[in-house]
Amino acid sequence: MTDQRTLEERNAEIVIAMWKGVIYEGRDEAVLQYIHPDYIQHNVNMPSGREHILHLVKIIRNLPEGFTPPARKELLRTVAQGDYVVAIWEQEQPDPTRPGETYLGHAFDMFRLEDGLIVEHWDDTRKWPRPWNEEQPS
Amino acid sequence: MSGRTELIAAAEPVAGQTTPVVAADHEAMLRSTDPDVERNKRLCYDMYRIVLQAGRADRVSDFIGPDYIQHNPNVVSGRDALAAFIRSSRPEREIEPAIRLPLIAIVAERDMVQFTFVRPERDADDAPYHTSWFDLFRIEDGKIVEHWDPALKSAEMLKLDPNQRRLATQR
Repeated sequence: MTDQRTLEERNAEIVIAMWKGVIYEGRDEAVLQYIHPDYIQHNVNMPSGREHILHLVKIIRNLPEGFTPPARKELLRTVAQGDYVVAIWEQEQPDPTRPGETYLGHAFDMFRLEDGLIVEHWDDTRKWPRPWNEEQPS
Repeated sequence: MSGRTELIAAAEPVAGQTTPVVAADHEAMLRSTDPDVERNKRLCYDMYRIVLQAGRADRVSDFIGPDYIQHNPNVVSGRDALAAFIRSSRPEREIEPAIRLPLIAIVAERDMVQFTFVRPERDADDAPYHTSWFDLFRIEDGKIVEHWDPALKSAEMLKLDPNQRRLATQR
């Protein structure tokens, strides 16, 4: 059987499978299956290197008090071209101008893949008071 | 479709942080083997260069459909509302041949075009760091008809001119 999917379709499926296995399920095997050992991280709250994602899944499995996982957002769609996949998410946000109400905000993650592994990541995250790699599982 | 993308260091990294990178060649990113995708990418690139960067509100209708849907929570939908937002948030500038904000990637598929930029920010202690900014556009019949970005709702964003968020080394 030949794989009829395009490179872009395969890469988008890898990104979605990674997100499910790593961020939703916190599984070490998913980190090792989908993330390149020399992972470059542009999210300012985490250093580069796959070992920090392995630490993150420990935190996700045992959330420290006050730590909100970066993940509870709905996938709107992906846009993929060549070695890039962008995931666009939507999430209800508290409205600072109308107390008690929410509005629909959007969040973005961009991944670069090499040979079926995620090797680089960018997102729109602001800097947290403490880097995620300094958080300890509960 | 283009394959691998050449990324180059965009600025000195902040101590302990990852070096921000930008695309080496905008023209290479704009090319596509799919003529519709290439046309969509060039439409969005030129809109960014002429309307958002040069502040030319008078050129909005060259690029934007009349029923433009805006998902940025600080700006209402509609082509006229975008023109008003441009007029109120930035001066007119010379039209330059390239986008001057630090552009990492253009990612396009079917009717969608996505731009990713390096975004310099400052934390609560006024220390500099880099994050990323995203603009996603949907194109219909040769015009941009929908836009998404990661903006949060705030009064401050209404006056923000992102052209002031260039990297120091790029000025």
